[in-house]
Amino acid sequence: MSDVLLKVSGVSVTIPTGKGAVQAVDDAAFSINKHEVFSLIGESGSGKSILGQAIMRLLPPNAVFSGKVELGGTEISSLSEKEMQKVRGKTVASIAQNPYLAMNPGIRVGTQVAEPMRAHLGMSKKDSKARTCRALKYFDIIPAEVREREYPFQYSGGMLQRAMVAMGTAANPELIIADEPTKGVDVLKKRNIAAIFKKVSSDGCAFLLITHDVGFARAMADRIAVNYCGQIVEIAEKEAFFKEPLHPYSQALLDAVPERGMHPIPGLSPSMIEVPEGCRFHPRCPYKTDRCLTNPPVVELDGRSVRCWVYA
Amino acid sequence: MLKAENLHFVYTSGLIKTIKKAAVCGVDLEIFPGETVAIVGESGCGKSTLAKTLVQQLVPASGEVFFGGTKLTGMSWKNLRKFMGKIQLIPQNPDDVVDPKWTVERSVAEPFVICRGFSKEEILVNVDALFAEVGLSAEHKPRYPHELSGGELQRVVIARALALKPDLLVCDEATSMLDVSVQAFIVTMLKDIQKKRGLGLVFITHDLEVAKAVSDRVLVMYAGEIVEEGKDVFDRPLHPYTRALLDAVQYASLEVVLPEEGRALPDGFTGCSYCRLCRERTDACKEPQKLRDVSGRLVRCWKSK
Repeated sequence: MSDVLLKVSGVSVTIPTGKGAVQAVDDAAFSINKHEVFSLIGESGSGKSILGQAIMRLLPPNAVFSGKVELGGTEISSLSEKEMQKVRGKTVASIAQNPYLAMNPGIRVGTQVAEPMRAHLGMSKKDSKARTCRALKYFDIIPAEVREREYPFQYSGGMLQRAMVAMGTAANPELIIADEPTKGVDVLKKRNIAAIFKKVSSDGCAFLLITHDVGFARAMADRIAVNYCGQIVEIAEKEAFFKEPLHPYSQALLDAVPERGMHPIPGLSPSMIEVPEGCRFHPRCPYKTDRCLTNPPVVELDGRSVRCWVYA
Repeated sequence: MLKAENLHFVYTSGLIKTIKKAAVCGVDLEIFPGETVAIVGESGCGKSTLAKTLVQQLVPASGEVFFGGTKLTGMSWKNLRKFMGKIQLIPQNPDDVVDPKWTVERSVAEPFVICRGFSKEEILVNVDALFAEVGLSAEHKPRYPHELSGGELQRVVIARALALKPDLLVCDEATSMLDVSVQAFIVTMLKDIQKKRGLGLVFITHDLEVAKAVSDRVLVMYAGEIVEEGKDVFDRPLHPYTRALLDAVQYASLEVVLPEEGRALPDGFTGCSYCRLCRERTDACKEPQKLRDVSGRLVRCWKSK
């Protein structure tokens, strides 16, 4: 594991709310190698997006962060905001979940897509414009010359999403954190996004794909991490994971996918304020025993890790 | 039960320089009682517009919609009201349905109030039964929409749609914004309700896996037209567009498919609307394409055998 690009160790994020503190990320630890596509899957509300934001240092101001994030050897979790701005968009770019919230509604889409090129690559307005048009055309936003001059509200949701991808990949970053890039996108455009990500990743860019779309993760990822209720419960190579998921939650999640019969997971996702004691999945788990009431260990098993008593 | 004949819908925008955009072009369809029909296609192909014209939320430019033999199009609003409870639409975004300033209980009770003829006690009993049917407990009732999760709110919307004992539910991307486990729950629940009540389901989705899992019959839509219709469409796709969709699901070939000269077809073009993107196009594709019967399947492509 010599070419580790991103190393996350012991990251926890707590967000105080009116009803109590929410521990959105609990002791997350993983690393992403260079050129690797690492996918974090899990249900909405499990803290996936917060983990992505924690790496980018874009957490809400009241969130309490602890732990260490290293990117290419430098610890970015302790950089000043000014230094962080040089990293953001240049070395690590993010593609946000909701394009309408991520784009500035008062600035033309073309200008926004060109921004990373102008800020980090020092391109001129003219050069960046030509490249923006090419990028937009590549993402099926046509006619690009016209669309480039339009505002976000004139775009449809899917189109704006693709413009976001164009913006994220504009400055050729080393790592892209894509947060739900396929949410609400139809199959053909999803395939196009997959194709574009594949192309960008073959150029040497690593990905952290945060998604609840199991099929997309399966098509894209080299390694899969499963997130449940703020904790990473399993990390495995893709083939091994889809052949035999180890954690009971991973098994239940895969059974809920349409091609595996759409079996709903029994019970409801627990509230993030009052998390169950011990293993967080135990109230819904078919294999639960008394020891599940204490915190399960993270077990290393042929190159994969799983947070479950069954394998201890 | 529900029948649409040669349905057209055109969106117009602009006051002086009017732009017309046909969203639904000549759709014929029929839905039988107790049947699940999936309408699939990419976003922007007119699926939602078709759904809205079917439930009479939009007035079609031409064509007719029949419900159980009665013609709904052109009917006065007063007469139409009797049928509105029988065909219900579940939209993609549950926030569009419920009033954010009402408790969800009031939202579910609203159809009974609108329909009149229900006493207060009857309404309360009915609402209780509906909440139980969609698996929500009494503690959810006094809550406001923002206090519920997406899956719970979608269940509230389904409860509301079921209130007036509909014969047909039109689900417009009802689960596409939800997690797989919640989606599995909602779909299983809808199928259970369908079995119990014997209602027809129209499932509009761009998720082919869901369509395959739930439907008895599939309609594939492209550019406002039905291009393929039949059973086991996904096992044996005949139209090139259906094949392209299925390849995309499997991420079979990861290259970007783009039209050479833009997607828009020239004015007055009457040929196959998919020919710009089709890999198998020939000059014959410039001829108008009719839906043909190919061994029990309707296909809008002259090549299919």
